[in-house]
Parts: sequence; C-alpha cells; structure tokens
Amino acid sequence: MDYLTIALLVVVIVLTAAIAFFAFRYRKRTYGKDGREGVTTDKGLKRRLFAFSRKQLCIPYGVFLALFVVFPLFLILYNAFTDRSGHISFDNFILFFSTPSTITNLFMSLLIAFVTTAVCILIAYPLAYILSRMKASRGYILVMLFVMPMWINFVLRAMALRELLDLFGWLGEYNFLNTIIGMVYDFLPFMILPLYSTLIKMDRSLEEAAADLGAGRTRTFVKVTLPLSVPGIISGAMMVFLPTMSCYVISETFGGGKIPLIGKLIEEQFLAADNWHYGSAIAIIMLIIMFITMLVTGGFKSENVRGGASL
Amino acid sequence: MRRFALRKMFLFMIALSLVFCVLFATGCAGAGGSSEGEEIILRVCNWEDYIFDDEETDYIDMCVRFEDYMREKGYNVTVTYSTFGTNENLYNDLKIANGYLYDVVCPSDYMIEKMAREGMLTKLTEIDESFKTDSVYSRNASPYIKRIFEEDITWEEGDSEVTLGDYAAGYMWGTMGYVYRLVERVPTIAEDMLDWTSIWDSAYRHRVTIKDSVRDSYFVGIAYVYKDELETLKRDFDEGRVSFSEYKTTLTEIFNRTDKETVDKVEEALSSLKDNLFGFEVDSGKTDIVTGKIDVYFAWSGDAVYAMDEAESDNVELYYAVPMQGSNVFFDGWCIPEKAQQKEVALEFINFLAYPDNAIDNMEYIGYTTSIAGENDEILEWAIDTYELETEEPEEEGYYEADLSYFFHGDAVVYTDIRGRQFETQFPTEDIIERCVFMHYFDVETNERINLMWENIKGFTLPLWAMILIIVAIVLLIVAYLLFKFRDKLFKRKDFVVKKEKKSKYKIIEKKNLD
Repeated sequence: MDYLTIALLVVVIVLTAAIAFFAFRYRKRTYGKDGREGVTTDKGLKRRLFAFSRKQLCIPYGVFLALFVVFPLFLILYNAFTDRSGHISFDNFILFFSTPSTITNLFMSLLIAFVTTAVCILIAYPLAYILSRMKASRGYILVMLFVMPMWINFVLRAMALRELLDLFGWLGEYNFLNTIIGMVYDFLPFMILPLYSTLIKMDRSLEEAAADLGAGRTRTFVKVTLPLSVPGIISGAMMVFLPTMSCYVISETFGGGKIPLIGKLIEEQFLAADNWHYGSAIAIIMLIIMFITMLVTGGFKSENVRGGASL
Repeated sequence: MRRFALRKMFLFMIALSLVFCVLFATGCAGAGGSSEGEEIILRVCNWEDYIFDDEETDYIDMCVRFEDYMREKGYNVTVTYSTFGTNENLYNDLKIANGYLYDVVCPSDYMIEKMAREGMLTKLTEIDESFKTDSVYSRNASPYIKRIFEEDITWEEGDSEVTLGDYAAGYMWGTMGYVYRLVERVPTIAEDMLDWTSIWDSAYRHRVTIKDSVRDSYFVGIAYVYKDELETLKRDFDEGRVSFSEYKTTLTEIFNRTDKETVDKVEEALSSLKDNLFGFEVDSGKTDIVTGKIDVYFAWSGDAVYAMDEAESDNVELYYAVPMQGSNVFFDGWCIPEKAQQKEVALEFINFLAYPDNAIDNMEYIGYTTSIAGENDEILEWAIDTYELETEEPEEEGYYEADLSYFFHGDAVVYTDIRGRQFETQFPTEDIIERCVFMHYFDVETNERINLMWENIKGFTLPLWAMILIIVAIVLLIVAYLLFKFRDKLFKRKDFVVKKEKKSKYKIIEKKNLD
C-alpha cells in the first residue's frame, strides 16, 4: 500500500460522505406521504429520509465517467490528430488508409468477427431454443453447464483448448480455423444467454395462435418465433462481434500470431513501436467502425421490434 | 429533533471514516518497519520475474534482504517494487510522469542509450565519484562486462564521448540463438542450428517460432539477407586475413544496418519465412518446445536455460546453439533516472545486488547470466559446483575445454563433457562471444520505418480482386440496409395505409361499446 492509494481511498470516502450529506441536505421535499408530487408535509419528509434527486445520485457515476471514459477519449482524440511535435496533422489517418497491409488487417478483423458471430448464432440458436422448451429444472442444469466455463480463468481454458488442437495436429497448420474455434469457444456464452432469455420470455400463446390458424411448425418458427427473437440475436451479436475484433490474445494463442487483428496493431503501436499518435488514430478508426456497427444493428432492432409488435 | 439527530449521524459517519482512514494509513506505514531513523522509500522498477524471490512469501525476498542490510547500516529503507513488460513501456512510464516515479530501473542496453541521450538518466559517478573505481560493484563486476560498458558501447553526447557504464551498472546479460531438440526427421539439426537461415528450409515447416518483437526478428532477417557477406567475413577472420577489431566493427555495422534497401530486403525475407513458421511468440515458445509442439525456438539465452531445466524434468534434452554468422549480445543494467529522489540509496541497491551471494541467487532464479564475477571469482566456484565441472583436464576422452578467462578475474579454464546445454548457454565460451555484437537503438525515423515493415510482415496484402470483392460486398450491404430502413417511404405500400385505417376504426368501435 503506498500513500497514493491511501490518499485515493481517503478522497473517495470523504467524497462519498460529502455527497451523501449534501444530497440529504438539499434533497427535494416535494413528495407527499402517498408519493404524489407537489405536497410537502412533515410526515412525508420523515418518510423520505434518503430522498436524493436523480441528478444527485448520478454524481459518483458522472465523476467516474468523466475521469475514466471522457478524459481518456479526449486524450486519444488529441493524440490521433497530432504528430510527434504536437502540431495538428492527419498523417496518421493518411498512413493507415494508404498502407495495404493495415487495410487488409482491418478487413481480416471484420471477417474474423463476422464469421465468429455467424458461427456463434448457428450454434447458440438451436441450443437456446431447445433449452427454452425444456423443463425448467433440466434446462437450468444445461444452462449452468454452458455458463460455468465462464467462471474458470480464460487463460487456463485457452491453454487446454490449445493442447487439444495440438492433439488433432491442427495447431500451427490451420491458423484461421483455430482462431475461429478459439473465438467461438470464448464468446459462445455471450450469445447463448441473451438468446435464451429472449426465447424463454417469449409469449408461447402467440405460437399456439399461429398453429391454430393453420401454420405448420416451420412456418410458425419462421413467421413468429424467429422475428420475436431478433432482439436477442442482435444483442448477442453485439456482445460477440465488437469484442472479437480486438481480442488479439486468441489469435496469438491459437493462430500463432499470424492472423492479424486490429487490436494487436494498436497494442504494438503503443508498447513496441512507441508511436502513440498512430495507435490513437487506429483506435479512433476502430471506434468509428464499432459505432457504425451499433447504428446499423440498432436500426434493424427497432424495425423488427415494431414488426414484432404489429403482429 | 429527529432531523438534528440525523445530521449528527452523518457527521459521525464522516468522522468515523476519517478515523478509519488514518488508522489504516498508519497501520500500513507501520508494517513497513518501525526501527529508528526517518523512513526512506526506494522505488524499484524491474522486468517481471527478474529478481530472486522464493515465491512462498508475498514479498520479494531480495528487496527484504536489502531492507535488512540497510537497517544494519542504520537506515530505515522500504522498497516499493514494481515491474514493466517492455522497454518501451518503462520509457513511456518515465516520460509521462515527467518527474519522480522510480529511483532505480533496469532497462536493456539500447533503451539505456536512448534514455541517456534524452537526458533521462543520472550519471552514476555524479552520485558517488568512486563508483567506477572503488565500490562493491566495481570490485565484483566481471572484467568483460566492465570492458563492454566502459569501452565498447559508446556514443557522442555534446562534445564528449560517454559510455554505457557512465549511466548503468550491469545486471544480467545474454545472447540469442536457437534452442532445439534432436529429431529423427532432420538428422542434421545440430549443424543446421549453427546457421540462422536454416529455419527457412522446408524441413522445419511449421516447427519453428521466432520472436513477436521487431528488434529480435529483424536481426534474423539481417542474417538471412547478408548471409554471404557474413560468412565471407567469418572465414576471413578465421583464416587470419582480418584482424579481430576489424571483424568486430564490420560485424556490428552489418547487424545495425537500417537503410531503406536493407529494410525492404528484410521485409521480403521475413515474409517468405512466415509461411514456414509455427508462429510468432514472446512467451509461449519456452513451453511449446518442451511439450514438443515445435523443434526449434529462437530464444534469449535465459529463456533457453529455463526451457532446458523444464525439459529435463520431462526427460527431454534440449540444446542451445549460437549461429556462426554472428549473434546479438544484450545487457540489462541498473540505471538511476534523472529525477529520482533517493539517488544515494538507489546506488546502495545497485551495490547490494553486486555481492556474489545475491548475484548467485538472482542468477539461479532468473536463468540469465549475471554481470558479476565476484571479487575472488565466486561465480566460477558456483558454476563448477552446479555444473560439476572439472578444473584439471581429465584423462578420459570426450571432455572439452571451456576457457572463461575473459569473464573472470583470474584464469578460468574448466572442462566438461556436456556440450550445448545449460552451462554453455549461461557461460558462452570466448569464441561464441567473439561473434556476438551489440545492437544500437533505432532513431525515431528508422523506428517508424522498421515498425511499418513489421506490420507488413505480420499482416498480408490481399490481391486486388479480393479487395474489390469485399468493397462491393460492403457497399451492397449498406444499400440493402438503407433500402430496408426506408422501405416505407420508397415504396408506398397500399396495404400499410389500409391497415392503419382499420386499426382506427376498431378503436372507435371499442369506445362505442364502452359507452
């Protein structure tokens, strides 16, 4: 424990206490005893002892957000648009888009992320579907079986899988395939869980209604179940697609570092090449790509929710 | 009344938390040591796993030993120990902090040169004038290390010439080479490993790793590109046509070439090597060679010793070879940053590590070779004990002579019947050392060029048709998405409008029924 840590702890505790104190002191007093607004009575006051306003409750998170999310983001922006001497320049972006190998690197990351997501959906959907139609107790055990690996340290699991691939004789030979296997292995639970929770919450009477109206099982699935589970697919895909693009540890462990991922490129710029400006620029490009991905999938999501609701 | 009580409660809570903090703080400080004298905190930053530590305790044993040593001298020192992963990492840490962060750090040779050139380090003689002539370190350090630090690695600084030894005291050093196992598939592997370019051979397809670090792999690339030149030079030197200093200068020049033409050639060479590789690694190689995933592992000598030790417990014999064309020798040294606050204590720390006992413990734990020889060559005694060496030439056949006099103060000729194993890795004989050169740091421009080359090697260039195909696919996807999103506006569907009307009618009917 050094003094900085202790000082930080003291600051955190004092700040929390101060926020709690002021929040209590300047709390809103416009709640009646029945919780309706606009009535101020002493009784109501006593009942709402910890009546922080919503804004006040946001302060700790706001501070955290500003310190560890917004501030670093500005640093990245500053670094990306400056050169070593501190002048504003777009050289980093020009360099990125004028180097064929980095462009391929970007495409490769997108391809890996896309294939991983597709394979994850293909494996997870039938599984989640079966699970959601099982008896609760048995289904629960199976869900646990799939979630449990998440509790074991990933490095350990990766090493085990690596030995297995070596046993097959694939290690060092099929780098792309190995990387995909590793990615799917790592991210599959993130796909199963949202799908499972969407499917289990689904109103089964809608399927029954479709069957009553004469739709076969396939037709019911395609027209009712699948559209209703799209939100689950989307959120699962988001949880797989975005981290996969930067999860270079897996490509290093299973692909011998021969499958280039954009996250590795950024890491190298910071830790080995000592070029923070270029690294930041690549980080910004990746951020934009992720943002576009979210926008696109978000668009699909809202469309389909409306479509589902209008059924 | 109740409100007042509550306010009191809050004040009480704050007071309590403050008291708790103070207690906590004093408790922590108290744990560090409560002997006499003002407490001095020494901040050490070292490579990971790079100092003696028996791992059963939660503190670093060597640091505690130093604290005890200082307490005997009447100082109350607490060591704060941290680690770094790469030289660049440490450099950035110091650069960003722009002030006091560490008192003593342990970067590699080229990074010491870079930091010294940028004025980030203190000259050790500025703290203690007699450091180079009369100190624990100067008495115990190996003559070889002192010669390298004082004479071989030099650069211009302003008008004067400075040496590596002005800024750093040697800690560990090592060479680079191939660790290999004897495989039946390639009977010539032992000879092959004396040649850097063997790993380009298809006999080693997918059985070799190189470093995922541009500096080290660039070195192998150079050896491939200038193979003929290097071999001619070696032959000329062996046959006496070239003097030793000439040989060494030329060798250093070749391995430090960074002009555009060389970089392009190295890029081509390493790109053609990539398909033959099992992979790039910095850490996994030393276990992969033990488990038999690979046959050849491009290694630093310390990792080589580690791998051999590990393999022995699996009954596998690994060997280490330094190729004939020449290799890289590297040194990690302790330096004191310009803005360190405890410079005197930091120097004490450097001296403390130079005691032979501590050097032996560190070397046993780390696997690299210590820069310390010991005042009376204690390290040689340790080596003789550990590796069961003979000091007199045995009568039996099969022994070979290892002359380590270059490293120790006195004559150090030993005999061993085991070649290419831990002993030779840790204490390379003079003929191996002769062909090892130092690699200077790349300046900013060169560094950028070489890193760009590295990106090109690790990535790959898709053919044009594939690029066009991907771009077309992406454009099509975007168009499909836009069509999907604005389909209502683009194709006004009649049934949609009808549906809406029906809905409103339905609602009206519902209301009427309610009425």
